[in-house]
Amino acid sequence: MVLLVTSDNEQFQTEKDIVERSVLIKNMLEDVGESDQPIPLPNVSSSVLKKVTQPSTGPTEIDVRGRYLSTASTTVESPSRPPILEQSQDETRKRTTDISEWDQKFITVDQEMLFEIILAANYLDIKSLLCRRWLQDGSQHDQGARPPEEIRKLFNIVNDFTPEEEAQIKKENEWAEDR
Amino acid sequence: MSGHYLWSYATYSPHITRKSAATRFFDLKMGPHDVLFAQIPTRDLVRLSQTCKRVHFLVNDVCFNITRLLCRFFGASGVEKFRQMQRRTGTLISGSMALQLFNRLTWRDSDLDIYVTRVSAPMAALFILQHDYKFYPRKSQDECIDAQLDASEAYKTPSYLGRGIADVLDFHKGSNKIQLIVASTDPMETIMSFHTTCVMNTITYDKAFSLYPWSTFVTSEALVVETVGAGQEVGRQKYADRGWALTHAMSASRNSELGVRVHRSVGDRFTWTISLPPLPADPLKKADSILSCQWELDCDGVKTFTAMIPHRSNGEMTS
Repeated sequence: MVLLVTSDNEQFQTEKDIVERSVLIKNMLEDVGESDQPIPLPNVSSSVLKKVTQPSTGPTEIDVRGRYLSTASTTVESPSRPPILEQSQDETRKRTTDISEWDQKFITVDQEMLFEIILAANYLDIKSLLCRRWLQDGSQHDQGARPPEEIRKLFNIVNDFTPEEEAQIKKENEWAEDR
Repeated sequence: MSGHYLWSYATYSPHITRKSAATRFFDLKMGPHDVLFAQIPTRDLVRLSQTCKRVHFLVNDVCFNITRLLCRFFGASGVEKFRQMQRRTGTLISGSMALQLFNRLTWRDSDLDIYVTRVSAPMAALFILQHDYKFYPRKSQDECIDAQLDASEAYKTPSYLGRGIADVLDFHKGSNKIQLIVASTDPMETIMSFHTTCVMNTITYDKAFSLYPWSTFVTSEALVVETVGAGQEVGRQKYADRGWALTHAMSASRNSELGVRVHRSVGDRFTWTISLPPLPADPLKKADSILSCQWELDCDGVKTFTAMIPHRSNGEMTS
């Protein structure tokens, strides 16, 4: 077991194989060796850490980047992109994104918590957590893409464009508005 | 992790207004924004970029970066010089490289296709040669570029060319290939004569334009447009293999970029425009002639074609 201390001074006894999903913590453990000393996580709150260390619900393995892999996974198609053929001339027609069962169940949270987790995942170096839920929570909207006003409200982003800048950017991107 | 700026919980005071988690994420100087953006479909990304200055900068810098696109051809320091040359000469980028800018893809073996007027061709060719490219004349071409450009003025639209193309000069450096496409009249007319709508994208010195973004990036369709010249079917198949559904059906809607006889112009409400990072000021800057380019998609009952709308130099249409 590993003892973690969060930014709000809560202590968590966590199984080593779970916390080692974090490359940061894994490296720390390797550096300090076996120790009873708590590991401070000054950039992660207790509520976020609870989410990050939620156990998996299925048979799992851990990849080199600390990603939790579930043997039960589903495949979804990206909703509105042509196929990705990065650095190749493959003839693949569909881009697919694997989302493990654990990832799907993982972040059923509000939008503020979503980015808190993204920040924590960045700090802890857990890449798989960075963006999974954007596709399902941040991106989707009843009529398609969310309007900028709604995204601002959703994520509490302050609009700092001048009226002229906003008008120009709106004109440049008018094509993407709902039809 | 010292390179990752994060809001410090250690100094957090509940009396200080705290930024949202999303804002703090986008404020990260070395954050994994690319990982997030890569998961976001194009239209969502465009709308996210409209939320605030920081996100707008990040999206353009991470996803639609002209320097990253062109640096393999000219080096990072040469890209700005290339864009300055574009400004002086009105040179346009089109073809698969322009498509890749919008689509956030990398097709490793893509050529750089640049479109110039006859007048500007020598200056553009000189720029390419100055960046260590070598001219490889085709069998029918003169080994001297100037002589070849002079000779091409007398061409009577050979079948290979057509589509308003006066000449095509090939330049190679290692595995990189640049094609200099000399337009008989207006480079934009040549681009508007492409075989499908998904490749009707162009990059000027300061802006990138996608003329059919909804079909190209949202529904992944490419309207087949009738055009002359050999190799059109091969060209269309290349993009079908890359995932676009070739369609022959225009739209009856006046609210569609593929609408029959919908009056279009570069930069109109259907166009996706990306402003590129500004270049240093140039008193000799030329006007954006492509903004006056106007056209309609039309159909003769069998085939779809692009009908260019003539315009006067002051922007008024001719009757």
